[in-house]
Amino acid sequence: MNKKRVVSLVIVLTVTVLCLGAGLYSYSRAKKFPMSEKNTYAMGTIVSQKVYGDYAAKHIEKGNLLINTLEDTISKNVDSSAVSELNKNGTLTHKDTAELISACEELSEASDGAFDVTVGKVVDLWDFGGDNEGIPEKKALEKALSAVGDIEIDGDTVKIGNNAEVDLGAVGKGLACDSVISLYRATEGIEGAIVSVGGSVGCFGSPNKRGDSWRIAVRHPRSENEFLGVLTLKEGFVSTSGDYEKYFMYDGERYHHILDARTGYPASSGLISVTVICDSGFLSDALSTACFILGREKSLELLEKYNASAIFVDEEMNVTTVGEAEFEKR
Amino acid sequence: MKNAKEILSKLKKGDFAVALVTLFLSALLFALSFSQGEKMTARIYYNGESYGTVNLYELSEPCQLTVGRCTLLFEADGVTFLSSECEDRLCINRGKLTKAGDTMACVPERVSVVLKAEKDEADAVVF
Repeated sequence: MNKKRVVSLVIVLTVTVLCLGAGLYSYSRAKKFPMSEKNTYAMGTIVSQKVYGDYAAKHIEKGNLLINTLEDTISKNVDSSAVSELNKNGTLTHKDTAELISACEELSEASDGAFDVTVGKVVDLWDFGGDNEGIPEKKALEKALSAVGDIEIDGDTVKIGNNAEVDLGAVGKGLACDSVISLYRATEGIEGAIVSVGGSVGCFGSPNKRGDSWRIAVRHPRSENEFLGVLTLKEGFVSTSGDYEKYFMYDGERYHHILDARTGYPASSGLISVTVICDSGFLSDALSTACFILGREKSLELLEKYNASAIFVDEEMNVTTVGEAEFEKR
Repeated sequence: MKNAKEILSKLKKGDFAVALVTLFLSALLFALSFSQGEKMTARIYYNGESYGTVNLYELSEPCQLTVGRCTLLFEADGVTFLSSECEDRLCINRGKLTKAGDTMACVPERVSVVLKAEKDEADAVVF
C-alpha cells in the first residue's frame, strides 16, 4: 500500500475514532444513575422522592419514615406530638422543638412580626379547607390575635400564654425536605436526590455523571395546569407560598390562608406568589411566607440577611427575580 | 489546507463511507446525550404505592380506568379525573393534566397521577 495512503488512513481513522469516543463518553455521562421513586402522603400533601444511585431503592423508605416521624413531632394536628403537648399544657421541655421554635422566633423578629408561629389560634378561626371555613367574628379574632407572640423560650423549655397556640405549618414542609436531603447526602451510594413535599423542594447531587442541574417547575399562580417557569438549581431548597393554595371567595374578594400575624387577616401585599431559593428548607419555607406577607420591597433586606433568592409574582402577573435565581419564565 | 486536500485525495470511496458512518454515529450519540423526548406516560399511585403506568403516546382512543373510588380518563394529550367519591372535588375541578411534571392527587381517596416524559421538563414542581 502506498505510504501516503497509509498516513491518510491513519489520520482519518484517528479523527473518526476520537469523535466516536467523545460521543460515547458524552452519552455515558448523560445516562442517568439507577433511580428509585416514591410518592406518598404526609403533612396533608403529596410527598415525591426521586433518589439516584446504586443503593437508592434500599434507602428511599428511610426518607419516608423520617418525614412521618417529623410530622408526629411537629404537627399540631397529631394529638401525641410535642407541639400538641405544648398547646395543651402551655409548656414543653423538648430540645429539638425548643430549638426549632427559637429559630422561628428569630425569623419573626427579622420580619417585624409578620411571620409568627404563635398564630395558631388565628389559623384555627379561619379554618381554611375545614368545615368551618369563613371570616371569623371580630371579637374572637381580636382575642386570638392578642395571644400572638405570647411565648417564652428558656433553654430546652418553651412556655406559651393561655390563649396562644403554636402552628409550625409554615415551616414543616421545608423542614421535611431538610431532614430527607441530609439523610440522602450522608448515605453512601446515593449520587443525588430531589424531594418535594407540597410547596417545598430540596435537592442535592445530580441525576447523572455529567452533573446536570435539577429543573424545578414553579406553578402558575392563576392556572393550575401551567408552569410559570422553570428554575435550574445545582443544589438547595425551594419553597413557594401563593394565595391559590387554600382560599375562599366572599363578596368577590379572595380570602387566602397566608395570614399576617400582625392583623390576623390574609396578607395583602400585592403579591400572589413568592418562591424563595436558599440553602435551607426551613428558611426557604419560612421566608416564602414572610416575604409574601411583607411584599417585595420590604422583603429585600430579609432575603439579603439570609442569603436567599426569590421570584415574586404580583397581582398584575409581573414576575421579578431577586438574587441569583436561574429562572426561565414561560 | 493543502495538506488536508492531499490527505483526502489519497482516500477511496469506501474509506469515506466508513468515516461518514462513524461520524454520523458520533453525532447521534451526542444528540442522544442532549435530547428531550416527549413521549408522555401517566403514572398512577394508589395508597402511596405504584398502581400502574399508561403510555399516553400509544393511545389511539381515550380509555377509562377506575382506581379505588376514582375514575380516570386517559387520552393521548392528558389525564382527567372524571369522578371521585371525595367531598372536596378538587381532583375533578383541576381539569386535564397535560404537561410532563403535572401532578394531581385525590387526597381523600389516596389516588394520584403524575405525568412523565422520557426526559421530563422538570424534575419536581413547587406548587
